[in-house]
Amino acid sequence: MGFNTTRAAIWLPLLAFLIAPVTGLAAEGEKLFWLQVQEEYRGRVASSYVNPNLYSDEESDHDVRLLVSSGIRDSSAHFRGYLSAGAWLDVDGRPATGDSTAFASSYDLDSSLWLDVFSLYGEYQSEGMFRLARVGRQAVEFGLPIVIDGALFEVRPLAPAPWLDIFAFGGRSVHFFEAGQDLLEDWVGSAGLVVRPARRLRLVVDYRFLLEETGIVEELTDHTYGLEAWYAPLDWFSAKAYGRGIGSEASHVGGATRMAWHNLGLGIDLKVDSQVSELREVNEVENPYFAILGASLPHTRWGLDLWKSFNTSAGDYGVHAGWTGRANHEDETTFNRDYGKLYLLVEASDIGIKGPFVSLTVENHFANLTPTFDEEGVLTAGGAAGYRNRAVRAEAGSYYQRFKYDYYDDVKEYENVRTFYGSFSVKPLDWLSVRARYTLEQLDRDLHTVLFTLTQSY
Amino acid sequence: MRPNRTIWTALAIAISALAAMALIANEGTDFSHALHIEEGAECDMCHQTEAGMKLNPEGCAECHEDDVPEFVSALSKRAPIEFPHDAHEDLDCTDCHGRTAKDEHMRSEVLVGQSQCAACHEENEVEVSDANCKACHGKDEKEIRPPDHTTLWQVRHGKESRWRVFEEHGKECGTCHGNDSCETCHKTRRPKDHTGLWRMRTHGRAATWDRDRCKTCHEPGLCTQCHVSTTPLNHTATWSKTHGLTIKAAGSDTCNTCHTHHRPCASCHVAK
Repeated sequence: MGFNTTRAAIWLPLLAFLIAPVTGLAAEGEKLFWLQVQEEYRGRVASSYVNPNLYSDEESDHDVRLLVSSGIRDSSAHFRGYLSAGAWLDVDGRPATGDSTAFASSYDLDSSLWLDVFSLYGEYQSEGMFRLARVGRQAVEFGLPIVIDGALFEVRPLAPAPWLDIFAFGGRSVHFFEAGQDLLEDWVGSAGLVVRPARRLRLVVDYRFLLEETGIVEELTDHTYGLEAWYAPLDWFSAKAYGRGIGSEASHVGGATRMAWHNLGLGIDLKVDSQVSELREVNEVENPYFAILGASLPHTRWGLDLWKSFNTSAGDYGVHAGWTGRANHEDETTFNRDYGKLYLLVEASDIGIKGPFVSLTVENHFANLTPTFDEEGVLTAGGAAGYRNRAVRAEAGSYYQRFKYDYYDDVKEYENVRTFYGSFSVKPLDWLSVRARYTLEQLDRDLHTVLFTLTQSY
Repeated sequence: MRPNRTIWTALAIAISALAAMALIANEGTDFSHALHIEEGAECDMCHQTEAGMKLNPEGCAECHEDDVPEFVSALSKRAPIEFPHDAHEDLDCTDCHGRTAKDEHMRSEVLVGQSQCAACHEENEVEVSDANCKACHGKDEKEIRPPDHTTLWQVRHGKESRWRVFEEHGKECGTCHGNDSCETCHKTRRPKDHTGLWRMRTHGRAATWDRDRCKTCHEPGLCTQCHVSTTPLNHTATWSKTHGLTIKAAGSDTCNTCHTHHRPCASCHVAK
């Protein structure tokens, strides 16, 4: 979203109020303030069009970007403040509206200058009964993740015993890639409990309402609620189960397990999530695309993830493989397809000597529940090699992706894109790093992209 | 444009070779803590407790005489461990390093897991200040990495972070990274499949397959930003003659996305 001066007028003074005592409490010699600033230039050039008459005649694009992350705390770590923000400027102006261009991005279409405040909040936290008070723009992880401009409070009534926490938050939701200011924003309020009947058992109950101002009807209020149970009886085993509902309907049930034996360098993750009801014009957070993509039909998603690492005297090796999928409970429709993906990644580092690394990756996305390697789908293969140490990192790699279309009844139209890249970064000073990256993407034209990034950390 | 079969063959061979290297590679060194303890060695014969647990070649030589392995000399020159062992002198080494005592390749759990520290401190009601990281982790905090931050961590860290819901020392990413460091990458770096072709042609298919993936970063306003004003790529100069074929293949649902109100079929295809 772009910069909203009205909101800034609310939360900037709040933040200033909260962090004002911090500077006075700072003790000499402790790092109570950190700041990371990143400046980046991106230049893009298109050439060698297969069909130069089909597309826009735009041949280059130049953008600059500024990112700022910062934190501050007092010496007792009770008061803290955080800021994370980014600004984009299209130096040579944004593309004309309606142009189909390979250079368009979400930052080009609204205005030449784009400012996002990802988070900006001040907080007080303690080990006592009043655990946390946080005011400002923040991501909240209770229930479904959401970003709000508002306030969050956590209380531990039996402190220091950790058996029970009570939380509540409320404010205005924040989305980051909106077509217009406040188009999709809602008033949100939530309250709940975190119960820990045992050290390795955690239960979370939450209720949330969203007040949607649609502009079409007067208003819609959605009520959602959920129960999560986390259990980690062993160092190597954790499990999670949850259920959620909207109004009088159940919406999601699911579970996941994580098994990780770090001494063996072995892990298995398994998750299953089932959306048991059709989600339509209810709850933007659970189903944000209904207005564009239609209703989200009942379906089940799953993921199986395996990894094995080998830390040896001859180098560190890792193999990572998995299978994810999505199956509709009834017939497929547009934007409600069955889908699957298989992937494999092999990595090696510090081969023989400290520094060299190499990786290879293969992915197959298939438009079914079982692999169809040579039919519809997306096939990706690639690899990279390089060298890294504390001060320098150099890397070169290439990826190949193949797609198939069915624009016409019997015509199988294949397309592919090849990507070649090289990057070099160096850290000449403790607080400064410099990175340069060149990427060539070959599709129906050649796209050359150059990135030059300076990062300062204090 | 099908990929050259040679490329796939070469890739398959390379992956197989790398996987084979990983599988047959010698795990760890030949040093066995278990064997030494079985033979009656005490920990402080080789580790200098007064010098940050640095190896003591002379201690090794008490048994090995002139045949002390070369790695001992190299390890004895490493910087001392700054952990306050003297504050734990009432404990046996194996109270914390129990797995090391059983280790046969000097690779598994030489360091103590933080959950083990936390459990012991909690049980004995010994408080440790989070603000004083240096007390256990040494002067250069950036050099201390959790034991799971090894190979593959970059691809696994997202999944791992979601499991860190229990209050355990060292399990919060923010302890080292700052609460907002996720955004430095995840709000600014695109996934690898978001290529130039993705931008123009393939993202729609991805949305039909897995719309839930899009909402990780994007909100629905992004769809309308482009699609309200941008003509689809297949609406070329010959589209007026070929659009019927597309409708025959894919049905008219897609057309209705834009044309329901403004250009219904009947405005051109007048019934005879």
